[in-house]
Amino acid sequence: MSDSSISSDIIRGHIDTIILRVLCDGDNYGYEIIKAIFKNSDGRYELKEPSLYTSLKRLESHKLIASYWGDESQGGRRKYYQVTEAGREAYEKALASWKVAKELIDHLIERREEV
Amino acid sequence: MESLQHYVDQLFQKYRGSKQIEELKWEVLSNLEAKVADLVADGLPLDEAMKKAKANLPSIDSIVGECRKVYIVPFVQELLQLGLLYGLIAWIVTMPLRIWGMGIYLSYSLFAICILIGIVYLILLGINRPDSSHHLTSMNVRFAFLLRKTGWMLWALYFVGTFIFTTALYFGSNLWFSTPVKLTGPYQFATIAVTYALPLLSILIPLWLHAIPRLILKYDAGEGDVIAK
Repeated sequence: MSDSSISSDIIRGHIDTIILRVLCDGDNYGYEIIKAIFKNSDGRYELKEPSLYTSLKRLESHKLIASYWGDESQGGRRKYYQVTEAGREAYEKALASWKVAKELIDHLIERREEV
Repeated sequence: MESLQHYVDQLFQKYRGSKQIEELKWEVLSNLEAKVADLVADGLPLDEAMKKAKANLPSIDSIVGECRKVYIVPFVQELLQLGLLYGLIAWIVTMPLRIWGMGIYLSYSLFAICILIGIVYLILLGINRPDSSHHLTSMNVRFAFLLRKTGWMLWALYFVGTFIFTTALYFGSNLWFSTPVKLTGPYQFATIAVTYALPLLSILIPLWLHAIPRLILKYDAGEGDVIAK
């Protein structure tokens, strides 16, 4: 249990980027975004709904994504999200900085035998 | 799906009256529906699926967020309008009390309050220029809800307190020392009735506070709104 809470703490700071990545593959609505993330993680990570809405709201207010209402013939209308040009740029930037951070953190916290 | 609608209605119960919240509500509902449909397709019984979907979203407080940018001029206008309305109601209701000694002061002071609110309201209406109506102020929704709750609690306390005090004043000696209660006529009866009923009028104050959170959400500018300057 504590394992999963530690990793979700680390993931939390990257939820925006994770959602941007999903939306870069195509427009999508809330529940499908959660499902796509679940699938991308091979079933190891499920994004909670409150975090999803908070993140979508933040992304939209920063104009990284835009939303529109779908025209479903049956059931409730779905709100779809689409990544904007600024959103794609932000995603690429976040990806690049993550790679740098990942390499650095690996260096910093992984114990290795001195050769 | 009936029960999902009901569940979402409940989640949003205390946040009503803004377009943004209304849209969030539709979004939440459609996502919950999609989730339940998906779980059912995976072979879960319907009620089981409902339970699981609901468990994932026990509250929307964190989504709605605390601080809101509010169009301050129309917000204050509507709040004053409501205050004026309540003030006038209080003034009219207490008019018959002018025949009592203190009643005349109460009536005058309520009238003065109405005039005061009315003047401020008219001034605000007067400066309703487009640039000032776009002025934004940050407001804390949670604090407004807290204020509303505190208002009701203090009022309840006050009302119960005056109720007990009045009872002790008029009927205390009857209860404790069995002195007979003297009601010599309709005037005496009315005096007691008024003493009991007057504190009830103060319910208008918590009612007024009650409107604040609703108005904040109503005049919420939304985070992403860009206002043409």
